[in-house]
Amino acid sequence: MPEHPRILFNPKDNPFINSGYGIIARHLVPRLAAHYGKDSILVFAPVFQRDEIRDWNGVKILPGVSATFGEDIIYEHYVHQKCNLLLQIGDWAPLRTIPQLASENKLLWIQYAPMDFLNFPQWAFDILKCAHKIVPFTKQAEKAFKGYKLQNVSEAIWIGLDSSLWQPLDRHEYPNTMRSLGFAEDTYNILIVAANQSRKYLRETLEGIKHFIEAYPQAKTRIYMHTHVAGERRLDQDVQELGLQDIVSFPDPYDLVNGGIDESQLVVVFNCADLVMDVAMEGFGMSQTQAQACGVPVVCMSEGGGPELVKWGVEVPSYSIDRSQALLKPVPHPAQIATGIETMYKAYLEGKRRSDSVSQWTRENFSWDLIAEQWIKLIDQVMEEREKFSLYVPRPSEELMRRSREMVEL
Amino acid sequence: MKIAWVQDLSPWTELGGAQLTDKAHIIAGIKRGHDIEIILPGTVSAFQEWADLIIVSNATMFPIAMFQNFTKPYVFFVHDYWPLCKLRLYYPMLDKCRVCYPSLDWRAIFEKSKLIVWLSPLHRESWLFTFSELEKHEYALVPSPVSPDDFYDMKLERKGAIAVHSGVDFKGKERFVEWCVEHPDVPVTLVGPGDNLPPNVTRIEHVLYTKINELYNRHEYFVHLPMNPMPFDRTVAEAYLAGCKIIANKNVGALSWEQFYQSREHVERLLRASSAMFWDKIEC
Repeated sequence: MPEHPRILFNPKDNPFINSGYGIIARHLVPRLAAHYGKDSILVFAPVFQRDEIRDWNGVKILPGVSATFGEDIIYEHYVHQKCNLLLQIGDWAPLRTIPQLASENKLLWIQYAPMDFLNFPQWAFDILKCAHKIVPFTKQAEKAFKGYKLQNVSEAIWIGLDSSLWQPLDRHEYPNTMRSLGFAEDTYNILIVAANQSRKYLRETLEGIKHFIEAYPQAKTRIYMHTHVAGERRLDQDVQELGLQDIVSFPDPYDLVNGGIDESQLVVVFNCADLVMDVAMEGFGMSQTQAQACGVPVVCMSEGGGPELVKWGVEVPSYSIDRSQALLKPVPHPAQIATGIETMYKAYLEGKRRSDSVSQWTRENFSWDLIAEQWIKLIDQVMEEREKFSLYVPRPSEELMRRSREMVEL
Repeated sequence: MKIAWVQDLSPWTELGGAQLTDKAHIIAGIKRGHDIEIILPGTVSAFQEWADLIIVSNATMFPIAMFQNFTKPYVFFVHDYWPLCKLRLYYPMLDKCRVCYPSLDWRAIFEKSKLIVWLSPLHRESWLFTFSELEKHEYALVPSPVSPDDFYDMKLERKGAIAVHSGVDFKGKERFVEWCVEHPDVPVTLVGPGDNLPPNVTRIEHVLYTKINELYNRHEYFVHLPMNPMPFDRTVAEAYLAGCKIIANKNVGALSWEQFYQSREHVERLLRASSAMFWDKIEC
């Protein structure tokens, strides 16, 4: 019988943070706890939290102070809490100690890994090869990792969504939300949900929308950017330069910094849109599945998870490569972004505004219950492999322990 | 005989216990007129065409299919537990070991061997725990050929205790540390790796093989307390021949030879006869 798992769950954000990684923790941890027992899973996320072990619905959240990945903290928790499995969800690129310890069989490491870059340097291979299992976010990532000759790649497991929340809604019931987004029934409403980071190509997206507007002024386009205005880009300046200031709305910055907007409110926002745009190479693309769950079409990048996740929408090809970082990213061209929007706008004009079949498919295939089942199957398999291949060193038998105390003196 | 000797590591260049043992037997075999070729991983050799006999020593780096397709008689000369336990010298002899995955593959291969050579009665007994079917199989017990010419009493002044590699878990770190704590007034020299050791332990990272006899001779006791069943443990025999008093336990394979309870002379005779015992059994 394999040993019961005692999982150290290490997401990039804690379950009560409203980020992509926080959402994963929020939905996966309780389901794993329900299956294996609340004592079988402990959460550690590297946020400022000094001394207390918090209780989150019966699951312990461990303390640790590190603004970045404090790898020693992870191993200390793993040993101190007598864990036998580390489930790491987040950036693996900065890891140094964890791969070393895993290669020495001092911890059993599963890495949930996105593939949102075009190359795969040797140092990346050297880190990921040490994991007992790499669980790709997407089938595209699975194929890519295997193509790079990694031998420890499992089947991909998608990031789920709460299908009780993410579903088509009648936006007519939310006139205040529509107004707050700058949307109306007779405007073409484009939604962008993204962190204000350069890798999201928000400037290129806005330029692409501008090209579209110039070609289709009658569309009465409106844009809501659910992001911080000031981040890696000053989006207010971008909007001003492009002359879009009259048609772009941003969230109230106070809402974003004061607890954020919860998922149920975000569902309404998505349902108010006619088109969702995400033209970066995403490791997954939660805004894309969220949009599809609401039946809303998506313009996505042809590289990354988009083509796999988006059943109704347009892919924008890569135009050039961003070489500013070690991990290369494809960059879209605004003209091609505009072409993508044009394609979906034409469908909009033909009355194709929502897709119930896409919504149903997305909600069925990305439900957290289904995703959690896949995780449980994987964890059970890993624990069986741990037992079968003796990935840990067991204590000798009682007989050997007894003999070790039978002294021989010559 | 033309003999293909299958080994993971070259006995001519590596200084592990298995390689030292193999080297001594190979040299003795050559002196007895055998034509012996070492087969290492990655070497291309059609040894099955020319060999009269195949001797399989430590062979973890060869594909199992090679052994399943042997067409010539073969002998296993095992130095640890590698075919039945992935953990090798950490072999824990638990009930689940009887159905552990490597043993399931190797069982049939061992049953078809001409002979199995173990290093001590304890070594064989530990194997039979998992491979009980081999109880009636043709076998030989041959101790490691530790040479009394290399290890002997130099009549030096002795003080304290010495241990070799006891800072490593499978060599019994837990019991070793317990013993050191129980004997705080005994200065202990530990050769080899180890951390978090009691204050009466002084660690030396490495000693040349040619200098180890002198090091044994400067200590009164040799301490070795493994928690896993050690097939032989050359260091125990070395230290004993070097005149140390032995503090060990029932997991030491060497100490399952009755000669150790008779006299040093009995042990010397046993170990000098090791290669002869090996080849006498192979040749018959």
